[in-house]
Amino acid sequence: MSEYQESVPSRSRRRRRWFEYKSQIPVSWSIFLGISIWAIFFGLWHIANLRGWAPAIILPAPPEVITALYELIVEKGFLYDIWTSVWRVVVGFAAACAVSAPLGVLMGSFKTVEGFFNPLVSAWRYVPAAALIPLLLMWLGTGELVKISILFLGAVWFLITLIMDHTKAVRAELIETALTLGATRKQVLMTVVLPAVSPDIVTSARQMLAASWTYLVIAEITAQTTGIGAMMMRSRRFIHVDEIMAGILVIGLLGLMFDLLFRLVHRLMFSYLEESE
Amino acid sequence: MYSQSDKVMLTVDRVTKEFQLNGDASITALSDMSFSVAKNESCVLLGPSGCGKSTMLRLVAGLEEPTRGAIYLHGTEIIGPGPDRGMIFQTYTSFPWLNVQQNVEYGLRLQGMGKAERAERAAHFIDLVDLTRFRHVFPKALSGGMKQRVAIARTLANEPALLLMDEPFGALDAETRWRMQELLLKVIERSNTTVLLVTHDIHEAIFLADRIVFMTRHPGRVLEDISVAFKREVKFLQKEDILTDPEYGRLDRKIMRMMRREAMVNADD
Repeated sequence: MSEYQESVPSRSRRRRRWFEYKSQIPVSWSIFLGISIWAIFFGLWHIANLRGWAPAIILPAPPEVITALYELIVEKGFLYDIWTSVWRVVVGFAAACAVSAPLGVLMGSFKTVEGFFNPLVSAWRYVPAAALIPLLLMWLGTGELVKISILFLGAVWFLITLIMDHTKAVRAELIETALTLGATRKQVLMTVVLPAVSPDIVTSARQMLAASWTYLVIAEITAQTTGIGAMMMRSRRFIHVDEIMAGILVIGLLGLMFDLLFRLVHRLMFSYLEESE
Repeated sequence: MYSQSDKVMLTVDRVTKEFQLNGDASITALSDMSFSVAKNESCVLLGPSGCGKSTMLRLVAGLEEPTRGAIYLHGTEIIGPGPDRGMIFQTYTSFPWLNVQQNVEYGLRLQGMGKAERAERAAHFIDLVDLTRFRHVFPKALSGGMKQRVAIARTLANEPALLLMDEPFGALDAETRWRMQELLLKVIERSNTTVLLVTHDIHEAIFLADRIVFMTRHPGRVLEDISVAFKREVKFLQKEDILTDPEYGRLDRKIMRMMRREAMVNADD
């Protein structure tokens, strides 16, 4: 924020502490700490397996899970399941965004739009999308539409509310400035409100995407046909715990990938928010 | 002081503003307030906090509606915000997604002005506020004073009839503040702008104003219309030069006493 740079002494006489309030840590520390937690996680898991704390059939070792994943991909066409799941998430979530972004922005901008839609939206937010599965199965069968509908219904109400709240938080002075510079109401919406709230829309979408994966797996487990969730339910029948765990691993990795993707998009689209030029 | 001639630009005519509170209660922010601003004049609304001076400015901007009375610009009643009355706020209002140049061009783009003409006009006003070196920088990287200079350039590029400023330097540190005051004087001088500025800083008011409209509080009304006539003979472009003028000291004391009296009268709140 400041024009002036804080001067940094070449050699700090202060001792580096592990626990320092609100202080930055070097990148190398972050990497080390990030790897450590996973090393401990897999280490404990492996030890549990070696020591026989649980029967091997319900708790396979990490390498077995990796092997299972490899076999799933090479021999059992698992890539097709992954692709199916990713496709469902992308379509269902994109539909939710396409509805909630314009609606949320309009509701956050105009009390009349909020007054009309909000009673419906806030009620639906309290209905878990999973509770609609029996109904959707009856109405839509077991095809793609039912999974995409569950995904859509699981995300859309929360997204609308989040985007509405972010839109309300757009500073009144920005809008008033535009008005005194000659902007019409429509121009204010397009040239002030929308660009001001866009970074928050992308962040809201990133956060809600995690929830979408939950609904995807619920949908796939219930209406078992294809997809990662369905594969896991198939494996359960044959007590292939390593395959179930491989499925969990893949879902985790995909979630992480999508999260990174969203962060990247955010950084590229809104580079003006970065500290340095 | 000013006769009803074509020199008068803004006329505030017996304006009362009440705000509805919860239920039937209402609070009177401004009561029966009248004053006028002449063309090319710098008029400062000064008064203790809570005197409704910011409300007055918002009424002139058209961002609020008077409960009673009316405000006229060039004889036409103000019924809403418009580019003829550009407003600068105390909080920073640079659009973060636009760089300095794009921010200054914003109002011109709304008018549908061509790209080349827009860029030329913006360049002129960016130069006027000494930001040429930073024209491609985004607001995030600018200091508070620079953001306010962007706001000034952006508003002036629109060539408003009246420049409205609501404690524009209130959020700045002391040094940046006097430098901005000097810059504003220079800008007003060069662009022949009519200014209506709100402040609670007596020194700022005397340094910037041709005329000070002193307001009482609860409810706000005009207590005295003070002419800063001594500045007509000598132009003070540097703040330290005005400090030694005996008239400055006299005015400073007079307004300080008025401020104190206001505070005493309303000591109950």
